[in-house]
Amino acid sequence: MFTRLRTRLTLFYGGLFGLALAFIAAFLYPMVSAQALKSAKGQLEATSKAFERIEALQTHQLRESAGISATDFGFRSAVAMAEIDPVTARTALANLHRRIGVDIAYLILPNGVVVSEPSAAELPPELIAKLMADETDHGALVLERSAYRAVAAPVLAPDNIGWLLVGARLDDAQMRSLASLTAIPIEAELLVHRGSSWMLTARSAEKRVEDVDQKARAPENDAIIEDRQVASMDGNDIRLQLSFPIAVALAPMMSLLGILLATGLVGLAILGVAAWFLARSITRPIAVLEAATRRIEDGDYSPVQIQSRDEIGRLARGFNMMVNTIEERTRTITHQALHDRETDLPNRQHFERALHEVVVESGYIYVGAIGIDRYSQIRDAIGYSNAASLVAALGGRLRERQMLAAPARLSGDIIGIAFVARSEAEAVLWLGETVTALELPLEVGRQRIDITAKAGFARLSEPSAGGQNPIDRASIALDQARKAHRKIAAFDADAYGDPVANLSLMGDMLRALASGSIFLVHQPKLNLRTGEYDGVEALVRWPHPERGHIRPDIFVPMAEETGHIRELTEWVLAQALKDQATLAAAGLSMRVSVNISGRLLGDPWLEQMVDRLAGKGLDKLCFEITETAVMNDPDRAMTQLRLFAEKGIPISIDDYGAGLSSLAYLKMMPAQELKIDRGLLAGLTANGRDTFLLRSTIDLGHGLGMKVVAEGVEDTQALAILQGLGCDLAQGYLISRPVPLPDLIRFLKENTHQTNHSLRVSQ
Amino acid sequence: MLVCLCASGTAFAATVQVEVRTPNGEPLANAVVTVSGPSSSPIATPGKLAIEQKNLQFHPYVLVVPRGASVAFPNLDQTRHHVYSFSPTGPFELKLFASGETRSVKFDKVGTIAVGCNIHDQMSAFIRVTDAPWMAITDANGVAAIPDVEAGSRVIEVWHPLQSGSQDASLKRNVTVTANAGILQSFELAVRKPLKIHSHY
Ligand SMILES: [Cu+2]
Repeated sequence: MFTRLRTRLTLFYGGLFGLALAFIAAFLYPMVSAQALKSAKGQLEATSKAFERIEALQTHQLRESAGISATDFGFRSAVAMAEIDPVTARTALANLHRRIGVDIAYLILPNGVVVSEPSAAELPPELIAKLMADETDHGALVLERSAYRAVAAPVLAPDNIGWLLVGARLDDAQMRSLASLTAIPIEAELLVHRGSSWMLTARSAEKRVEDVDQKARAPENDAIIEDRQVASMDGNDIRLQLSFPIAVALAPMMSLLGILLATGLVGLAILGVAAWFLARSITRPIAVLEAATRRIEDGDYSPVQIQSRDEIGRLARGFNMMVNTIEERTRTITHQALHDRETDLPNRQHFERALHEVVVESGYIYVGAIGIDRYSQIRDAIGYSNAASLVAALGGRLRERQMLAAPARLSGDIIGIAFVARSEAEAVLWLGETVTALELPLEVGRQRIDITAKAGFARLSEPSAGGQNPIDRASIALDQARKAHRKIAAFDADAYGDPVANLSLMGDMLRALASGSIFLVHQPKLNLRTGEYDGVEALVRWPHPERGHIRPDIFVPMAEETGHIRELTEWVLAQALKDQATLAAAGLSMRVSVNISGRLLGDPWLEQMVDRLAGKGLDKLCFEITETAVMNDPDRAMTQLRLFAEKGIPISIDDYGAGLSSLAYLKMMPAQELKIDRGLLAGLTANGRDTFLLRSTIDLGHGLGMKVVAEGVEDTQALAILQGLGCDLAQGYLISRPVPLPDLIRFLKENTHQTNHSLRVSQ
Repeated sequence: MLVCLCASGTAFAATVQVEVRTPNGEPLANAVVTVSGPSSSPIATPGKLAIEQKNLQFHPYVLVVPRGASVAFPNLDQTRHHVYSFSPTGPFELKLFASGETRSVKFDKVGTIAVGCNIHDQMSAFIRVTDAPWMAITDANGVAAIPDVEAGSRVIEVWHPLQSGSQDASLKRNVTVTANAGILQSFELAVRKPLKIHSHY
């Protein structure tokens, strides 16, 4: 309600004035009305008094007329003779009546006989009795429907020989003249009590007289009433009633109130307008300030223009100062929000915004993530501050290249860039140049520092990205590059998979394990010394009903990440044991190698697993474990490996030569077999450097008492070289692809009698 | 008052004393007391029978006369009077006689004659005409003594001009008068106040 200050102020002042006016009226009304009523009452009382005087005067006049008449000798003689000569008495009375001009005239004889004119009304007996008893000689008198003021004068001759009664009618004219004595328009009425009602005999009002007999006396709350008992001769209750309607009495006061109200309303209007203007002069600058605050919400920090020197002016100046401060602070905060504090390079958020705005005319927009190798080691070496300076300097170098957005620090060791290229190949080329340029030595804190870097990249908008952020994709590509020990890598969606899909894939995997749609294939190992197939490596195969064959290097790392590697491993071990049993039943007893994830190594679960399967021929299996798996937590891994070895489970070191090979660990591992990574076989020639490396590795394995297995043997030349180098076993497409168990059985049965096949081949 | 025996006058007679009081016990003056008797011949009253007009008043106020007596109306004032009576017992009118002049009126009927003056309303007198042989008027003490009342069975009658009720009525009482043995009779009589005469002069 009334959210505007101006309205509120105007209403407040108007209301206050109105209230004051109401108070005045409330005080004035009862005072003035009481005064008006009192004044009217006073007028009525005065009139009533006047009636008393008139009454006395009229009585006096009547008495004089009657007295004079009653002492007329002729009249007296007529009265004296009335009993003998009533006609003369009557005519004498009529004569007197005319002469003195009264309304009624009667002669009452001492014996109670009344002499009157024929048309005259009969006198009430009560009156005659009172006269006789000498109880009355003047007063009001009711005859038929009229009231009279009457006087009875004794007729003396010289003793009392009768009474002459004369009267003047108390008529409407009398009431009117009585009423006219006052300045106010009162009403005078003469009422006679008749039984239970009042009979109206005369009235001042010039109204038609109706129902006079039944006239009820006016109730007090309608009119002010002055009631006077009129002394009567005949015992009637005769009242003079003076009345004045309260409404009429209050009418002048009402007009006074009207004037008060009118002036009050005019005053209210003036006050309202004045308050409105005053309020406006106050609220207008406030409205300007309010508008300014709204502008600030939209980022407009322009100062408000208020010149006044009053509180509002000071408020405006304070406001402007505050706005300046806010603007300054906002700018700082915005900068901080969008920049890396250590290096002052733009941050990831800034980079994302910039990517939104990038537009190119031709080619594709690529997002690159350049990762500094071994950043944490460098940082530890040169200190945090210098490391930050290093990143800043690298950022500066990158800025010199043709960039679509300012290079931004995405994380401690990753700098994001955006560039344009016509194809992925061109992007690889361009990025290669960029990384090369970045690797030029630089000086930080008076130290010369050589760095190396790797880069991943992804198209800004890739249809197959599945809604993934391009920066994330570039970062993943960098991870993929690092894992693959490659300088530059484009984002490989297949290798990465989709995290959401991955989760469902794990569910699929568990179901597949249960339903048996995941199965094992086996790749035979050829003993180069005997020409026999000594063992097989069991590998997992998963034909997915929707996604086709899913490679183990996709779902195994996923299972490692999500913890489902336990179920997978348990199943593989159990299945390998079954398959081994099947082979044995077919007369093909041999060792089955199983890959054990590095994640599980050191996990107590694995020990329990091994314990559970211990009595089921677990010692006829072989655990293939990568060298790097041990390096995560060597102590625990070694402890567990030794435990397995004690239980008689052979251990094989897998993928030797792919990672950083540590001779120390190699020496410590209780392994019986060393599997040379296929990378060492790549480009194998008879007398090359690789042959030397291969030979020393095989010798190393033999030196440590291990059998050496070569993986990825694909041609006869390689097989021959290996055989020449004294390698114990070979595995690869040349010998056999990994095949399902029935195929394996068939293959082994076909080749057991040709025991010298491989030797023959090698030779 | 004591009973008083008088030997004077006629033998076989006694004095009758009458005392008249109002119901309040006040002595009532101007009451007419008559004693009737078998002898019908009235006894001439002592003194002159007259009502004087003096100082604009009638004197005496009340006069009792035997039937057939003449009453003189001597005017002792300088002003003239118009003496009248409308009483049916003996109406008369003596107009405007001059100072010092005396006129007489003879009353032949028994009853009351109210006498007034047409010029002066305040003047009022009453003449009581009676057949009784003995008569008197009470004095300021309300006592009237009637001497030489013949012994025998008598009726005492008391009347007053302002008596309540009819003017023609009177209080009557039978008494026995014994020779030389006076009696005292007490009467009680209610009276009106005398009418106030409004003077317009
Ligand atoms: Cu006279």
